[in-house]
Amino acid sequence: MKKETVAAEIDRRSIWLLLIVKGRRILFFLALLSFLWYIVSIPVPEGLTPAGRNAIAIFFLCLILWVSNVIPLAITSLFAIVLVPLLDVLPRKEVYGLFGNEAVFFILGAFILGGAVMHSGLSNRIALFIMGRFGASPKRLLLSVYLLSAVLSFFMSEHAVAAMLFPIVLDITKSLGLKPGTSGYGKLLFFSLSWGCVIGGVATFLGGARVPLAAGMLREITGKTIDFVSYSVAVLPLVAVMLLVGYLILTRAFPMDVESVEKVHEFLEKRIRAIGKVSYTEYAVGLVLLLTVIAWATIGKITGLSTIALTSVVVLFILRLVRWKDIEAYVNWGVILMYGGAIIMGTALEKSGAASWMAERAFGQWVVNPWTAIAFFSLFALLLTEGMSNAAVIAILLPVGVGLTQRFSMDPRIVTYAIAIPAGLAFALPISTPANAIAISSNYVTVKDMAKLGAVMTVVSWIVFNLVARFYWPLVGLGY
Amino acid sequence: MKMKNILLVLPSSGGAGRAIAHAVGTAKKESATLFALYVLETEVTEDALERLTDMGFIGERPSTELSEAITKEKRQRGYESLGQVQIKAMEEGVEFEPLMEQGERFSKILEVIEGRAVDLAVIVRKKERTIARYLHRPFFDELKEKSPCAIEVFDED
Amino acid sequence: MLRGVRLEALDIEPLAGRAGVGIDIILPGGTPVNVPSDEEFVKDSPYILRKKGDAYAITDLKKEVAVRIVPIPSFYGRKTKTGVLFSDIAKVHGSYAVITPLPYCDFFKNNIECRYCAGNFSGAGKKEKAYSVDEVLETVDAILKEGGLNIIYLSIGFSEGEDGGILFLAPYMREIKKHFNCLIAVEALPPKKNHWIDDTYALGADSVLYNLEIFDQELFEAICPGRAKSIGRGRYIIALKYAAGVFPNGTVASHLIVGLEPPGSTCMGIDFLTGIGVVPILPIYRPKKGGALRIEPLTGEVIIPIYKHLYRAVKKNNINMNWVRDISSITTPIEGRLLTGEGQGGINLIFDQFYKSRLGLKTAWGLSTLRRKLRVKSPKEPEDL
Repeated sequence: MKKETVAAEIDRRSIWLLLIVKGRRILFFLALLSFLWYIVSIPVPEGLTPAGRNAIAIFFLCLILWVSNVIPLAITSLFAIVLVPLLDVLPRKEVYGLFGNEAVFFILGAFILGGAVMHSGLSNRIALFIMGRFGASPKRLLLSVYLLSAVLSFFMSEHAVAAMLFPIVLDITKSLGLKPGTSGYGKLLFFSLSWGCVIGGVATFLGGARVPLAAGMLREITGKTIDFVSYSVAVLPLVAVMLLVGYLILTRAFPMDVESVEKVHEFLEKRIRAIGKVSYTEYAVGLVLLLTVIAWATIGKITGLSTIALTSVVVLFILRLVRWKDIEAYVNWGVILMYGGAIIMGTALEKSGAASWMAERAFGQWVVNPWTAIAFFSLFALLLTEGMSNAAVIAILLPVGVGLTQRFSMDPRIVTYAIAIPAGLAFALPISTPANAIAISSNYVTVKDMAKLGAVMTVVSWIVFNLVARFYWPLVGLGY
Repeated sequence: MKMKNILLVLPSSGGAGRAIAHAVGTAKKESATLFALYVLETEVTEDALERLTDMGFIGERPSTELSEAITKEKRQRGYESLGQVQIKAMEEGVEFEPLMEQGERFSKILEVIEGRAVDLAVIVRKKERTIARYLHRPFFDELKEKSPCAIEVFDED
Repeated sequence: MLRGVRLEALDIEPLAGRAGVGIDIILPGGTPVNVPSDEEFVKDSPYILRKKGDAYAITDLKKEVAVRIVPIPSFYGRKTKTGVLFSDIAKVHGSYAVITPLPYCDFFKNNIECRYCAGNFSGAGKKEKAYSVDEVLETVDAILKEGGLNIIYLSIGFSEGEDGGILFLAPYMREIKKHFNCLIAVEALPPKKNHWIDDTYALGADSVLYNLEIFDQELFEAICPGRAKSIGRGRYIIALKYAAGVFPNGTVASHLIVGLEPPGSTCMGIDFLTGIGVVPILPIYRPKKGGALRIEPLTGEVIIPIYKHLYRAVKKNNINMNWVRDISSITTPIEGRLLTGEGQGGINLIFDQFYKSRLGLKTAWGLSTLRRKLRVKSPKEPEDL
């Protein structure tokens, strides 16, 4: 018997139009390469070297690709890795040498540690325990989700935390019988998950790939370092204030339309019973993580953060707490390329003089003092990060920002903070950060809800950040 | 002309109370069989997750687990929606068959319309602002053009 | 092609009956033509094929023209792994090889076959068995290795069903396209619904032929009772017009058999078909023994103006002549051009050489493939359950 299926559909538009539409990717890259060729061919502007001009050309190429996301971020970085030596910006040996950057190994170590925590089930247990123990009422349950997301993001990638907590929060909403799209409490729970992760993720080096990247770029460009504790000391007040403000905004925006969370407790107890008692692996992994954090805080400056991270990874394997095939699935290896490319790009811009040249011409007339520099770059980073990856924002803004600091004899670490911290505070759009997209995918939170509240939170973030920078940072040695 | 088969296409989220009542009522009046279709659009989820994994440098394992959780949730919602229609159909004494399909929404709808020789398709669409509705108009226009049966469009509740 | 050619001397006889029917020769200018040599009417032909040393010539005892004999394709004598002769599966006609996977036409079952049909697909004495996809693939491989052959024609006679036979041909087309970079033409009866034509294109056909054969309505119904009854002349025209909108310019063609209707009717058919973007191609009717279908007199004076008209009509309607050409048993617009003397030499000669060259073939294949990739939105293939 012959089955008739839906017929092939023939597109009858003009063949030239079809070529443009279907070949747009190739046309886009041809246009991009033509643009690169054009920039590289123009006479060298005054105040710039040929290497600087070429560095700017490569920078814009990477910028367009990072913003448009036409190819994965990590692959865009390959353009930098390939073109920088090819166009004589930096020698090849130096370029590939930058790959062996400490920041790369730190983030790898951090990802592996985070993966071990997730794979052992420790993070899951902590989440269930916290929610079960402290979430006796709707308000307390909400707070426990919110703060748990934030605190876990102090120690693990915020995106991984969001991914891990999503099924648990989803099960909570279902056990309460909350209706997607209409339930105020459902919205509150998922916003708490998303905002908790985003805000907590800026608190330490471990919350995402962006801070280690910024630190690595800073070190390569200026030789200055940021240590684990100093960073957190500078940021924690901001995090505390943002968490409070965020909670107030959310609870005023949506009603807590649930009377009791008894059913959640039943569900959480069931889950906790199902995972059994704490295993040796969980204890051991927890201990390794704890000791690692202590080591970062105490001897990090002496030994280097990456050394500690990698040592901890080795310990995990010596103690057979993890297997390679389990752990490698928790690590996105593209981060190595991203880091390498971004650091190479930043170094190339700095060493060729292109960074300060661009900074002067692009921002020179607006940025007249350190305060405006911080205000400007933090705003720029906040806006850019709504549409781009956090790491890409840093790769783009940091070299230019650092280039400008020389004008004010400003500590480049301050501008680094002014870019790296706001780059992690993306609230308004699903595409801004995975945590937002994960919240949207629950169908409890709508894009409209997110855009409205996210816009408010973005403005609040900027104000709070600048106030903290203006009044608190000088107290911790970051004066300007 | 007497209708033998009526198809109700449920939205991926949102209520479809009015559409369900209309479809069941029409099926009862025509003594027709009612099919309810829920399309699980996993490709959209996978594309979005791939982008997120790239942006956030999320590892393969957490990303896969997240994808599975989302798909499982969508499937569950699909069953709930189909269940609602089934209850209403049973109450009215209408012959009913639930359908859960995975794939691209447009082609799945057409496939079912042709495969089940549907006489009337009732489709529920998301409530959208006028401008979004205008941008999405081609979906329903194209469906009306290609479908061999009549199409009725309902806004979600 | 009209009168045939007598073979002089025994040493030419081994050439006879080679490529199926008649002898394939190459005229000066490189035009391939299949010349009748076995039919009854050849006895009265004024043309003689002679061998002079190693060369051949055709003479009418007044003038002599040097020709080349097309050698028997070397793959003819070989067999598939299953023991079927390649020459049973494929027949070469100039630059085309025709494969008929199911050498059987359903019209014969009900005795409503076209009255001009030579009976090749009557199935008499043979099993109604299709050649398998693997057998066809082996044949195509052998054909392409031979070289010099441009297009694989997949041909099917009438079969029940509204798809026109495309469902049957689909697996062959898919596999040929999967394994080989060659052009495919499909010769079938028009499907009853247009979406099958879209499917034909999506499956990989670079060219399609729905052979109307006779333009005059009454003669069509009289001579092709099966096709008139099951499909209808109107459907042919609708399908051809639709196909001309789907396929590239110049790749949709239709036979109009010269000799089965008055010349004026053939010319009207040419005008009509070219008006809807279809390339008419003109086989000459070769009467069977005892067959009396042909319109008489059929002489060069009658036929040549038709061929010239063919070329001019195709040119006037800006239809590409370079896709459907160099078929030894059929006159195409390119041959018509030769008769008019127009467009000879210069840039046309260069283009001619290009189209026949390996590079030209590759270009044609590449462009055709690209066009399909652009045009086909959702290549859902018809399936058998």
